[in-house]
Amino acid sequence: MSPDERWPQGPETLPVLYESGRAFSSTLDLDQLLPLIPRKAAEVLQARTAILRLVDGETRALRVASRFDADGGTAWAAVDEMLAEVTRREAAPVLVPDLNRDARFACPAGAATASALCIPLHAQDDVIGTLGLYEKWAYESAASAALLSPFGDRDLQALTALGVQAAIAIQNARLFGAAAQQATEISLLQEIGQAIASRLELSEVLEAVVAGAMRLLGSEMTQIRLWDEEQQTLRYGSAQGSGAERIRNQRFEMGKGVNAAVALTRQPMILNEYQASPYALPGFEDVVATITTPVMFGDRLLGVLHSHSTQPGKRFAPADLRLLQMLATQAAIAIENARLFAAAHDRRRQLEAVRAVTEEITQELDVSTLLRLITRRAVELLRAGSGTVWLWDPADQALTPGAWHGRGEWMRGRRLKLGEGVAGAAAERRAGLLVNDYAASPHAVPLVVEQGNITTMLAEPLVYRDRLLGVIALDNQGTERIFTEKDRQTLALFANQAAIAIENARLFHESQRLTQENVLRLRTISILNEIGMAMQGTMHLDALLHVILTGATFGEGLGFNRAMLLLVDEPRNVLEGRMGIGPSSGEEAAQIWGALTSETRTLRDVIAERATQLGKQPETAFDRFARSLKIPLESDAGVLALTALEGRPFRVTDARHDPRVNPEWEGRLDVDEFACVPLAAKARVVGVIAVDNKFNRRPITDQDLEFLSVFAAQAGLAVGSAQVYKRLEDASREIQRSQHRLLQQERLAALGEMAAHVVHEIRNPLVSIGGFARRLAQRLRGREPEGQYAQIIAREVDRLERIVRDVGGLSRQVHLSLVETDVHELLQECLVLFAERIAHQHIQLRMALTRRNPVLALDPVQVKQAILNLLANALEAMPEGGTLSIGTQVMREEAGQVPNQATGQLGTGDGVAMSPESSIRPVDKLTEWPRPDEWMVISVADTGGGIPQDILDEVFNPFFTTKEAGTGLGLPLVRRVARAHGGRVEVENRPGEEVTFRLYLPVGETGRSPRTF
Amino acid sequence: MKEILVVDDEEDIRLLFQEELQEAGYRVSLAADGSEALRMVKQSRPDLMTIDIKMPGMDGIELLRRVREIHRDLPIIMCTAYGHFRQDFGTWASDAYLTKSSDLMELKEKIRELLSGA
Repeated sequence: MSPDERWPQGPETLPVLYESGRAFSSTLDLDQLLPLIPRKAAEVLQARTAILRLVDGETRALRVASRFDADGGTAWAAVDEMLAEVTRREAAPVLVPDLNRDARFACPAGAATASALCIPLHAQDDVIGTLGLYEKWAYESAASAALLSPFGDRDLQALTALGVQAAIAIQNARLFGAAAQQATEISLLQEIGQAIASRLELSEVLEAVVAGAMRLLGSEMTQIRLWDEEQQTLRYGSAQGSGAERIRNQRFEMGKGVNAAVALTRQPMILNEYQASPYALPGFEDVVATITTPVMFGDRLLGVLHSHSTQPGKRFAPADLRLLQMLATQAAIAIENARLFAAAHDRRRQLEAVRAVTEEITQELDVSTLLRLITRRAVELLRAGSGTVWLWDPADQALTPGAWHGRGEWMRGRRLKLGEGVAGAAAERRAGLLVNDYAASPHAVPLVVEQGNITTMLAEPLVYRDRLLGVIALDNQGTERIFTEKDRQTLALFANQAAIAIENARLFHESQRLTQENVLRLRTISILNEIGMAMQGTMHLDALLHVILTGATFGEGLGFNRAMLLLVDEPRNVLEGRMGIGPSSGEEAAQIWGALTSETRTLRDVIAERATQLGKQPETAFDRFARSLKIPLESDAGVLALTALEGRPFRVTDARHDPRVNPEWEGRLDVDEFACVPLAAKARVVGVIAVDNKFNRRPITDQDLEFLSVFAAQAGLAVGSAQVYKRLEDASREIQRSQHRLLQQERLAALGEMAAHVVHEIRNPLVSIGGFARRLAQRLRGREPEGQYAQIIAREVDRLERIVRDVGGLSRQVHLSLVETDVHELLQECLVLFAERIAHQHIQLRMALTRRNPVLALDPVQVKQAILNLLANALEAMPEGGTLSIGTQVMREEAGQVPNQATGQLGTGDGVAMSPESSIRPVDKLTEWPRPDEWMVISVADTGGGIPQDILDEVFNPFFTTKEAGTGLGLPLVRRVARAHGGRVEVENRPGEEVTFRLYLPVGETGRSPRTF
Repeated sequence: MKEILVVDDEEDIRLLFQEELQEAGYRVSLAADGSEALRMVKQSRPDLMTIDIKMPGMDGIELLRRVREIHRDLPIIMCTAYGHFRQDFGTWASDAYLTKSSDLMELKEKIRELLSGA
């Protein structure tokens, strides 16, 4: 349908309104709407060309928005530009009936008639554009295109109506477009915001911000820089787009460029004439326009967001800035979040590190290892150069180094008072301390300053429940790393855990010690119990000593290698070795221990088993050594004696050099270390136990010594009671023996009394019989056989008299009647009695008498009897002749002059005098004599062949005789007389040759009255 | 000829002593107990006395003491069958002390010694 068909007389206004309104309202899209307007206008008003111009929002210039040409031409543009300006200025339609006749316009050549109509497009009071129509067609004759008519009033009315519709439609479309743009921007911002907010890493956040800005602005390059408050500068954050590399490598200087200006002013800036601005930088000559906004979080500058374009003619609009600022706000939040997150993350990582270290240190229960570990981990955790854990000693009120890492031996023995040094100051204030210029700090300690270039130090007290345990201190040398407040917080966190760990370890150690103590107590009790039980089995001292030493050496007991026991002998004032248990050599030790461990016997078993073997075991060298000890109880006699004298334990750790050690006694243990403890019963020291670990060389600990002392106290009581028991036993045995002796003596006394009576009754008749027999024999001499009979009677009576005399002498105690007697005279008297027999037997008599005074106090009757017995024996031994040697000698009791030490063949003395020592002081219970200075020795020797060696020991026993006619009482009587005088008899025997009897009589002080006895 | 007074309660001993001493050339008078001997000593002083210690009534030691009151320097030999009377202080006043024996050689030797030394 053509317009001329509908409106042959020109357009009607209403239909045009209707028509255009319908057409323009069909779309809200400005891009679709704008071409529609000139086309509709040209169509309705039958114009050849229609041009729509709109006012540029920024430049206010009227730009061609769209045009319509019925024949596809481009004419009338220049005319329309002028006409549109006029129309805008007039704010009213302009109708030019023929452009060719109007000088104002330069019309295109060739046009016959050219009518133009231009109307303003109004929105409220503003002209927002123009619509110009050129060359109206005349439709009277459709066949002729050349038939043109000018625009008339009807056209003007119709176009004005259309123009109103078009302006409304444009405004609507623009409003809609703006709303849509806004919606798009918002959703884009939202999208970008989400993209930014979804990132937590700062670098990712920055990347997302830059990418978002690129999308928002469509610029070539965008960057973000971050503000370094401390250094007052902008640091590279992120960049994208062409030339991003250039930005990354840019040497940024404050005071130059737009970014620096924005950072300082904190005001956004658009530079659409960048190169002409004072902010243009070298290297950025291609940049056309820039847009920059500060990134603020509240009042705080976080950085600068900047975009630029290298597109010629590119201009950034305020809307761009608005968008960029909105983005910057989101970026600020995201950056702050990322930083907070990073801080939290750092914190979490630190916490994680602390937790890991804590887990490690809380598993360590050895205090010294723990301290070393804590020090090392703290140094690692905070990347320090060296570190020290100081421990607080409440008694000393000082800190001492418990462990250190990265520091030298000079730390050893150091001591810090409260407030001294950084550590001391931290301990004093119970709070961490950070010193970053150590040498200049008031806490500097000269010694530490000397040790090196320590620049920064960090100390944190170790506090457990308000109790100061110590201080952990870290330091760095040089300027490489400075500790921060954050480091201090981390160290504080770590110190908390370390304090707990230290306390735990201490508690553990303490509980372990208590446990050990309990175990030890239990062991002590059980061993004492074992030994107590073993002791119940015996009160026998030797068995008890054996139990004690077994307890001291057996592995289940105290486990010493060797132990020996010495008892105090009070009367002699010596410490006497009684028993030793322990191997004699390393090989033996290994053998015994090997056997013991393979059999795993209990202490009780071993005690029981060894008890049965007591006395049967082969003697060990160590036991022999122990038994050989007889140590005088004097303070300079060595450690063993000291132990007994002072009644306290001794431990010698360097026995080979210890001046207290006596080489003669404990020195022979041949060890470096040994211990002695007293055995005490009540307050009395009864003995000493000495122990050592000769073979495994295990050091003797305080615990060992303590245990041994407890053990020894118990053992001492046991030994004490065993000794009491033994004394009781001895006493009871002694009583039994005495009773027995008493009984014997009573019997003997009765016998003696009877014998004396018999002797008296027999003697007188014997004197008569013998006397008269002798008379008869004299009378009957020569008259045989009567004379011989009488002689036989006389001789037999003589023998009877001797028996009676001897028995009488033995059957009662000897009572001496001492008289100053000349021994030589006494000998003479005796010899007279044997003169006849000596001559008869052809005996050669040799006398060797002393020239010294032969007078001494003796009982002449008794001594004479003894001499007579000796002479009778001598003569009886030589029936066929021989030599009888009689001698006297005064001997001084001096070494070398002691009798019975001459020839090697010497026989026994009288049973006492065997060794020189014991012969000095014969002990006779019946008569206690003072020790004499001199002896009178009366010797009687015969050459009658001596005494057979095998019977020599018996000659002094009563009733022993080899003679057919002997009583066996002769020599016993001699000995009895000698002993009664405090002397003795000795025999010097050469079997087969001769025998000498020596009678030793003490020479008392001169002038001693015999009556005093 | 020297006169010896033998005091002994046993007749056989008195006889033995009398015969032996007479043979040895002494004049011998005898007393059977202490009181008889005292009487005799009071009448005439012998040259020597032998006294048996154990006698009924007055014993030898008592006799010795009494004789010493009369004749301080009369040689006296105490004879006994026991060896242990020497412990009695009383016998110390005698000049000799002998254990009786059937062999009277020792007695005669002592008498000779006392009489010659006197």
